[in-house]
Amino acid sequence: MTETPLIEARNLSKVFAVGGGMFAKKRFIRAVDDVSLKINRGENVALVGESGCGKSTLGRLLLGLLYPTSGSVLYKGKDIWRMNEKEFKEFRRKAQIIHQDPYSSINPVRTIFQSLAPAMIQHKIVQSREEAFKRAAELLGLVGLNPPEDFLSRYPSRMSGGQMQRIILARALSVNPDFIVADEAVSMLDACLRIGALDLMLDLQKKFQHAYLFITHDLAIARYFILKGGGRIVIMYLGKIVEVGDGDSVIQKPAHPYTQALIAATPIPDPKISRERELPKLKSLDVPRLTEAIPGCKFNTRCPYSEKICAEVVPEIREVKGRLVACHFAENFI
Amino acid sequence: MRWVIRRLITAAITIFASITIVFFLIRVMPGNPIDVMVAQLIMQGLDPEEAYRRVLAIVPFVPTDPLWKQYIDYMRGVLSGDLGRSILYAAPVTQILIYGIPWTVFLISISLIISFSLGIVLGMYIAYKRGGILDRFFSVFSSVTRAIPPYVIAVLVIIILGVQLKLFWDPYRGPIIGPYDPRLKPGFTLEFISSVFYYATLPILSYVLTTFGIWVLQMKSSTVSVLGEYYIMAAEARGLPERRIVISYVGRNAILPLFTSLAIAIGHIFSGSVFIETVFSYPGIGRYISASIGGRDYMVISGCFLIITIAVVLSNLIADLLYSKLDPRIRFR
Repeated sequence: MTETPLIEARNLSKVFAVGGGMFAKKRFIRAVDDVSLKINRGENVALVGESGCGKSTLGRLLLGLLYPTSGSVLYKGKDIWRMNEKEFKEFRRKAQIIHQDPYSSINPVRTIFQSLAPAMIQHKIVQSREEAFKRAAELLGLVGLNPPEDFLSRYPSRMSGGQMQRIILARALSVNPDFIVADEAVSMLDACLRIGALDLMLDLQKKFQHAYLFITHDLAIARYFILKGGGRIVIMYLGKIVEVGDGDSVIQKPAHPYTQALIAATPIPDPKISRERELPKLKSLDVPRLTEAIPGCKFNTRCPYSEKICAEVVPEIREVKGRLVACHFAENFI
Repeated sequence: MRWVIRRLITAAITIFASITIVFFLIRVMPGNPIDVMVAQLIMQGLDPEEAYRRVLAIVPFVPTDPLWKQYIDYMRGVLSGDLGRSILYAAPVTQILIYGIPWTVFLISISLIISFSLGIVLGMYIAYKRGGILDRFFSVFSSVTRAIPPYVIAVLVIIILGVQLKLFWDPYRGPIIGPYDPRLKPGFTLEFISSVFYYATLPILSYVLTTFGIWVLQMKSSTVSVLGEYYIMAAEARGLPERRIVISYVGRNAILPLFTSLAIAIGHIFSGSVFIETVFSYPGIGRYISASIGGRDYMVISGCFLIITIAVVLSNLIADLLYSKLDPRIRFR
């Protein structure tokens, strides 16, 4: 790839200290561990991993909402933490977030208009309150809330979860971003609304041309999103990216043992198949404690194929037949 | 509007119930004003029978009447604005209250404003810097100040700032207590007003010391929970100025639950005023309560409690009304 990626993580790490009271010893969690990832303009990247694997932390690091322990985040080739104030403000406008819980994502004591307007005025996207009102109404129309004027004067407590999710999407779009992190954006919606919300996100992308980092723990949702919108799926395990592949190739033919286990664990809504299916052949079904430091490949404690080298050498992420995999024996699986 | 009327009716019932309970409670306390006065007269050398006759001549109610008749008489008086006569001060209760209320309101309102705003600012500050030294300090500080009774704090304040450091010390009269310098003539002169504030400093300090630690902790926990909300992070991501986020996003939401506590605090601070005004011999409602309970001055006790009840009920009402203005989620039908 010759073009400068829109946003890039370079050897990014974030370590959290936990405990460390008067009596407890301080422990450290490597939430994100030496991660490198590039996202191009208008591209979709679905980030999949189980709870606690650091996917949300990675999202926040990419948005500049958390300061990395080491490594850097580059926006259009510039380190965001070395930007001057004006550039950083511009970056803030260009990178937005959509959260999981629509109810806690909007200030409950403000009307929808009061939540949408300040940022638009702040970034001089609109010049006056009247213009802000017009634009806010336009945005609400785009996300399918009609009549928009009716919603603008409402308080969040008087709306449903699905409506709130649309408001949040509209709010993120209100400042013309070119990168949106959707952190489990549809997980709180019930199943029948999910597909609609995903389609809406992708439709709006066609109009606004922003890139998505779509964070989810649900492989099925990630797959739908990527198949419909195009892009890549990234699998994360314990703070590390283990596999990256175009489209749903990762799901069709998983290369990393962890991805294989993840796919084997996806429930299939057919009792016959799921009864005959074997459990993933893991050494242990439990996720290791997050504070534990695992030498070598992080998955070696559970991996059914692990050998001596896995517990000693950290596998580099490398290209294997058009796929990026971090496994010493990746060739055996493709 | 209907909601307001309903609330007003509830308030009236509360006040009525409180008058009734106080009326009977103080009369089942051991001792009565006649015994107290007779005992005083006997100590002065009168023979018991003569003393008893004299006392009966001055008490403002008929002690031989049955209790229910006394109650009806009293209620009739209350409804027509007559709260009875004080035995100790030989004056109408309303007159005593009119003299005492301004002093108490003066002390309480200033103390409450100071401790509430101090608590909010500090609470938010430690919420942002949680785990720091100040955070740990206030966790201990507020449980300690909560546990120490207000009169002990008041005495400590007098001893340290008045007697030891001589900051509030009059060379002729000792530590500064009372409402103002008795050598000054009350009036709208700069000298008198500054004396009132100077004399009020120590009682206000005692109130603030006993109450603001709790506000700090409440505001801190409230702020911490608001800081965890996603809309704060989203506001940050949209690049809103830090000041705006702190004040109108975090502060505005964090302060809401404290308003309910504020109404309750007004009731608490009145109970504190009984001790603090007594220690500082400050002529407010609180001191009249402690003096009149000592002398079993029934009418004054009832009158003071009536005022406190009205204050608490009213402040609750105001807090509820304000709350619905501040928090759009709450709308009354």
